[in-house]
Amino acid sequence: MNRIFVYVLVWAVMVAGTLLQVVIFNSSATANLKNLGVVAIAVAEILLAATFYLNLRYEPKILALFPILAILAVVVFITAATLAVGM
Amino acid sequence: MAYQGFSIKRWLTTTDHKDIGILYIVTSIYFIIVGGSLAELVRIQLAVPSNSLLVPATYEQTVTLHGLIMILWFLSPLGVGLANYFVPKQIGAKDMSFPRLNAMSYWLYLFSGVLLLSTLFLPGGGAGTGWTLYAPLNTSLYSPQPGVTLAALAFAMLAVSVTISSINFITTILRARAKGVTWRRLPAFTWSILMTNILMLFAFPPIAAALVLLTTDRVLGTVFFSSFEGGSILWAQLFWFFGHPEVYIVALPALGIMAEVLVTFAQRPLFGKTLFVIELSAVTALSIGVWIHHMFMTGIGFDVREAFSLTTLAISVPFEGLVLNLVLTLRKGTIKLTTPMLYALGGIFFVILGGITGVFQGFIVLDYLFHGSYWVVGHFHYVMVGTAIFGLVAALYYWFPKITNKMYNEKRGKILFFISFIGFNILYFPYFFLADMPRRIESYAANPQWWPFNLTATIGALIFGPALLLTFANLIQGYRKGKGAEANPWGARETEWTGNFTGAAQAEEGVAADSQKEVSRMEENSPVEKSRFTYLPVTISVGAAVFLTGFVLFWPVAVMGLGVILAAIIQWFKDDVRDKYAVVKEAIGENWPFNSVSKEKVGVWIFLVSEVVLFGSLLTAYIYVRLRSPVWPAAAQVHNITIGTTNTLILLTSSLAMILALQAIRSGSLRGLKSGLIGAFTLGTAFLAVKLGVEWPLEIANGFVISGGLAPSSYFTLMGVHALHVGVGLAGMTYLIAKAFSGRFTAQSHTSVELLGLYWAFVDIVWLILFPLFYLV
Amino acid sequence: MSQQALPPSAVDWNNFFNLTSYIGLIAAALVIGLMVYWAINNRYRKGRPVTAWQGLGRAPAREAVTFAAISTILLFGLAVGSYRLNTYLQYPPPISESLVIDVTAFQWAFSFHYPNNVTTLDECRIPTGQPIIFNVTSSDVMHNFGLPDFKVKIDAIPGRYNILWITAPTMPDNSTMTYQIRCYELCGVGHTYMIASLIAMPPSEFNQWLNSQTSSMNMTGGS
Repeated sequence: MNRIFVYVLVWAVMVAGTLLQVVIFNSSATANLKNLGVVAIAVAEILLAATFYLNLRYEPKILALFPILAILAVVVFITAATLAVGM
Repeated sequence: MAYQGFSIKRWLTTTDHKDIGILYIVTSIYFIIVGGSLAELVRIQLAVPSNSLLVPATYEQTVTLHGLIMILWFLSPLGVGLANYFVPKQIGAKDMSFPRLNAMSYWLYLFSGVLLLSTLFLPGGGAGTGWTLYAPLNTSLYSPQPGVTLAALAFAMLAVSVTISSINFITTILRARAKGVTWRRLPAFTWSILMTNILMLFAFPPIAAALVLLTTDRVLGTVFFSSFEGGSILWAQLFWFFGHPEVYIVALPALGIMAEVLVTFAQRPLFGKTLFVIELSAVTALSIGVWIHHMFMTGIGFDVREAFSLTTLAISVPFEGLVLNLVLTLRKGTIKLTTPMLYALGGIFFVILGGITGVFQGFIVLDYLFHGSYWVVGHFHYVMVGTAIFGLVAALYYWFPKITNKMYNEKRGKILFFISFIGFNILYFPYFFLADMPRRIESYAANPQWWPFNLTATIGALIFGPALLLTFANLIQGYRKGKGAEANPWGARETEWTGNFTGAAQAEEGVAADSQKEVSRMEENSPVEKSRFTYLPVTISVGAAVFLTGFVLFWPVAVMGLGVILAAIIQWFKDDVRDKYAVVKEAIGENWPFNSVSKEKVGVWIFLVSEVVLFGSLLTAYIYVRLRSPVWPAAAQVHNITIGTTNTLILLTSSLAMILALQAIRSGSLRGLKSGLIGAFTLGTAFLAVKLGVEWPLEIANGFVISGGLAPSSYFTLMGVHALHVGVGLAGMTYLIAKAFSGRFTAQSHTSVELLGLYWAFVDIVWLILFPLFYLV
Repeated sequence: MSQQALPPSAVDWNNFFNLTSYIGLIAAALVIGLMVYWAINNRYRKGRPVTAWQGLGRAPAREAVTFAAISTILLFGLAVGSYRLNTYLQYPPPISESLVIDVTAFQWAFSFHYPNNVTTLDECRIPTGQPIIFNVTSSDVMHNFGLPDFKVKIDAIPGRYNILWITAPTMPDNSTMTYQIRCYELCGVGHTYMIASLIAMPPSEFNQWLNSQTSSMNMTGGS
């Protein structure tokens, strides 16, 4: 597939995703449901951007090792730090 | 091209890894003399239960500065200095992958240290908070003196230096190995440095984040560390997520050195080299997951503490394995007890005691007594001073002939080793009997039973300190008056001595290759036609120091500093456009598994790792305070969602323009590149203009101001850091646009477009996280 | 102090420390002993043959696994012991059986607040034999409420309440015992002198003292 077409398509999907996030935010669903929707779309958009705009799709897979390690460290940090709040 | 003899200009402008290594080594030795003198003051103060040498405020500042200097400005920089000199030699690289950035790391390190020391001379003095800078003692309510802000900024400047240097080391080791230096044959010291730098890459962004938040607290009125919801625990989390890996950052190079020294003087291969590397990796990975053991007494969740007690015990298994590998190397060896060998063996002795006492603290129940006491001080001095200093001194002696071509005085070296070793134990062993004495107290009149141990320790300090000083004197004496050394006086077999990277000589019996041959070969391949000297790294670092000083004390000075930095960066770009600097050719050697990725791209990806961790740490702080806050303003009430959404769309489109620009030049269209870059630049500028020019004024007018609690604190700080990244990206684009309009990009040569594209996409992704978290959730 | 007169938390601590120390010392002695023995015995002498560089023999996988297994078992065994003691320290007896004292640390002293509104400064009187629950917080910076004789401590953190509980032992002669309370977290220039006393007295004397405090408070109108 033509790369320019892919880039534009990804952009369109992310724009749609953003608008959908706002629609969900303004909807009458419960707070939990809204948050779930917004976060799920954000994760999808981030994956899309990482795959195509960070070019991981067209590069040696080994490069993905770096962000994966970094995200892993951050996840460990956030999880332990927030879990450890209580007494 | 080469400067002969001593020349100030050479040392200010050099980008050669050996020169920079020497600069690091000499500077770090200066800092140990400063930090060591502070320690002697502390010990003399404590020689008797009640002493009037230091008043409380001075005492606390002495202790704080001692800790900061020794850990951050002495121990790890000395390791970095040795690595700078010997990692390229061990892997057969002509230089570090990015020589000018290497110089930049050094100068940032030096001037951050100068800034830190200068805090002592400010009104109110420096930080008296302990090196851990615990909150909320570190906030301006309890530590109003500007010295604390400046110390925090000096620390942040060091974090930048360390991050740049770790990117450089990792890229060099991944990309610049000579033919024959496969992963399997990578020397133990280089392995330890690789792991150290990976840890640095993960550990320093969190402390940078913590220091950014502390600075905004102290200067702009945010409330991260003065509020109950953030406060002590938030600081401790951020600090120790950095602080514990830092312990291994200090210890691992020493272990690598011990491995090299043992192998050479036991004349045996390292016992279980593969295992050694596996254990090293395991220690590295696990050390990121043990930090909460510093917080066992903070009253945080029971299960979390128990879990981290287990990870702490788990890390001791591979760590003990490392030590056993070293000891077992001696088993069938023929051992020459030279000075470096004695220091290495001494270091192993200390790592065993320091390691085992560390396990004690891993048990929460024992920590109930040990926490905050001299037992802990004893433990980490066995690790940091015993293991690290003895290991590093072993390296100084071991590589002395290689660096200076001279020989030191062996007899004096050995005598000084025994004095140091005995003095060290007299100094630190008594601490294990002081498990009930609190740290950082300047008198113990109420507890005279502590006196004998304290007096013994002080006597030890008066032996150990001078012995260490004489050790450096012995090295200097060796440099000035020593006899000429052979190229490989130890008969070592490792690559930095033999220059043989394919391993052919290692199969032969007891033969060290002619290292003279290696030297001449290196010279031949040096890129002599282009400059290898630059004033810009030192200029930028001075500018940064001036900027930070001005930021704290007098803002017009900050503007001056900023001007210097900008001018230097513009000059840097101009140099690049003109191709003024020699590019270190990549070795046509071992690159697996990065064979098809350029060193620049590897470098940017490693940089992005540090950025992920930086934003991750800031987000952790935000999520933490938000979850802890009983009330949080609804997003729709404080933010204009329409503006936020519009800005998201603007930034997304800017990213599209950037990637299309890259795609255009890939297929050779300079016109497409230009219009894409201009589009991306315009949209990026629009994003900033909307954010800073429309959105923030609106919010501030509605009373949503930065000092108005945790919600605006986190909003403005995180958005501000992101906006700063957008600004940096825009500056980069200006350079690309200028270069594109002078027609210097082609389908084959457009690396910088691709690199900035990666960065710009990353900044966009960060926004994709910030937007929902602040506006919609 | 005789063994009987030690607080239970200190007895547990001592036992666990001793056990850990034996294991640790034996391990350290073993490894250091081997190192020193080899370093001296294998040292270079004229005529000592150098072992060939090649011929390392088999890979040390078996030793590694054996060693890792042994130390994992030892550490895990100790971890179980630590977990049990830690649970004991973590969960105090029911409030009905205990005396709850609110401790507020500040620069640079401790104040103690009893259930009947008596407040003392830098001096905490408690009855022996009864569980005491300290509810610890700070009103300014981070401090630490440490009872070294009881081998326990807990951080005093602004905005948080941390629990620490102890039982003071009854002295053989029913006498009053004074222990030290110290701050174990650097909290500013007065850190060194942030010392208080914990006075453990027989329950009858304690009640007498508490009543006298209450009545003197009532007489002066309280506050």
